[in-house]
Amino acid sequence: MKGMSYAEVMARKNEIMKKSLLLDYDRFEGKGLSFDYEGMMNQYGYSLDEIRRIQREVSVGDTPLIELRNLTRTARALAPKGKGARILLKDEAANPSGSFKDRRASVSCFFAASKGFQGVAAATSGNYGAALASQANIRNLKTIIVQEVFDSLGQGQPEIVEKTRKCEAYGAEVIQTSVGPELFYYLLRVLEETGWFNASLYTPLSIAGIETIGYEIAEQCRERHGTLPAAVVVTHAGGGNITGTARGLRKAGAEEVKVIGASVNLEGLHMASDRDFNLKSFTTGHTGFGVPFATWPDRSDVPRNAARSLRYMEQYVTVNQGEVFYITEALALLEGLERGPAGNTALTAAFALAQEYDRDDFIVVQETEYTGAGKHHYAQLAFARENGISVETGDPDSEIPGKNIVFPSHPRQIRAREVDLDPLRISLVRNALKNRGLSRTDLSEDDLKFLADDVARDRSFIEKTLKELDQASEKAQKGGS
Amino acid sequence: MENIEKGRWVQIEWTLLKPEERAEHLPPETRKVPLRMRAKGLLEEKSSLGETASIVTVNGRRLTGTLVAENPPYTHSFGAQIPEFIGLGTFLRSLWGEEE
Repeated sequence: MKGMSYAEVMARKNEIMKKSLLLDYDRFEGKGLSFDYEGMMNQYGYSLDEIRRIQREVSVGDTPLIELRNLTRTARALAPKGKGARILLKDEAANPSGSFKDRRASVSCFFAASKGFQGVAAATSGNYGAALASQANIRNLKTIIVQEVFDSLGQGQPEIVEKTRKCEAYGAEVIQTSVGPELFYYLLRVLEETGWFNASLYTPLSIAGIETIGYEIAEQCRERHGTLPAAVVVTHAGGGNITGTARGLRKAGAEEVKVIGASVNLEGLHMASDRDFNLKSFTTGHTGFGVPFATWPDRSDVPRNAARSLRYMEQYVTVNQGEVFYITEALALLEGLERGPAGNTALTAAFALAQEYDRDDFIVVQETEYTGAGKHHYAQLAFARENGISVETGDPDSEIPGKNIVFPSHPRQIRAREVDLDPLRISLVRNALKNRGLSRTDLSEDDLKFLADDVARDRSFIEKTLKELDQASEKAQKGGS
Repeated sequence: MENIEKGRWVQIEWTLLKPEERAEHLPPETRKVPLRMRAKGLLEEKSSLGETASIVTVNGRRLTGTLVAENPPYTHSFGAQIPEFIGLGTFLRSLWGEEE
């Protein structure tokens, strides 16, 4: 009989993955730290047209691109003369289960059904669970969702409690867990026990499902606006949204469109902390996922993550919780759209960024998500107050995650705060070496090229980074001895 | 103790990992508490709250834990309106210039 302890199950991870994904990740591994990313992405062999057909079959995608005239007007009122790009919103809430996650789930469920799997399972506390359950129903598959829901006091984050409800509304089996990354351990046990498909968020299938967003954006902009947007602003967490959207734009020949990632700033709150768990008013779209997943994508639940944001993200900005709630309210009041709030992260950044672009330009915001009990901004604010977080109006820069939430006293205070991408790129290189136990001299030409691609920089950037990392570690060793 | 009949829709709770069994590199406040689990299913045998009980989930999986509730309701809500936002629409429109 197989051992079921944490260590024993985790040791079988690759074997379980192979069976539950029908994907042998080892096939794409190079000798050092590199792997054949594009080879892996094309492994399942679906073209973008096929993905669109699969999604249209289940009413996923072809979401409206809405021009936000009143929000644009407000941004223009604050912008310097001649500035203030129009803001367009990709209304992903129009997907069957209310978020862009239907796109990811649709391809996984199509594949799982076509290969004869009886069911699908995933560890997710976000909209993806509902998306998977919804798509699984259409494809006559069973579903198990493992969700991190409550802290050690038994108190659930209202947004995730709502996700449980929605999954259960679709008939899914929901296994709720307290705080901790070991929910993946339970998922592995479920996959082993059931033999079902591992509908991870981070497989090539999942990312292929998002590529249609980028493609649709390019198509809709060309058709209705005669040209491409200056930029697409994407809410960034695990990296799938950025990766898929950017790849779709490229497949539509829209390489020149700038891809900007935006996250809610939750600096100081640890993602695996039982204490911090209920001090967060955002359960996704925040820096707690955005930064670690950018700097080490392979931390995910699959051996090689198909979502690699630093390959595609050309600019990264953060906004604060109070600003996102403010813009969520403004979206309802000015545009008649009740959405979010987490999905409105990119919109909040776009409101500030639009003021830097010319009036002739337009920018597209990806994404929106459904709202409802628990995940509405009023629910989050009530919950924050119950947990001792002060809700104030003032200067958004005075917001400290976990201590207070600050609504801007004037919309001109809403800012997209620039994150320098180079330290993140350097961090990815450091992690790539550390996680394989390699040093600079071990690296082959393939490894150098892989690292360059993985951070979207040239060879000289990688060489310089490697030298600096070496010098830093020598210095640390000397200092320590 | 309240008895719950066999076949009722219930929730159980159990410990998956004791503190000493938990993953490494966890913050201390997480490491010192067990990883708890909750699931719902049909009760296999008449049991009381607080007792060990087995359930069968919607997918036919058999799980065992402490019986914690019979069909617990969803209680998450929308909270109250946010007084700070009252009048925000009028205020934002007041910023618009004439030229638009």
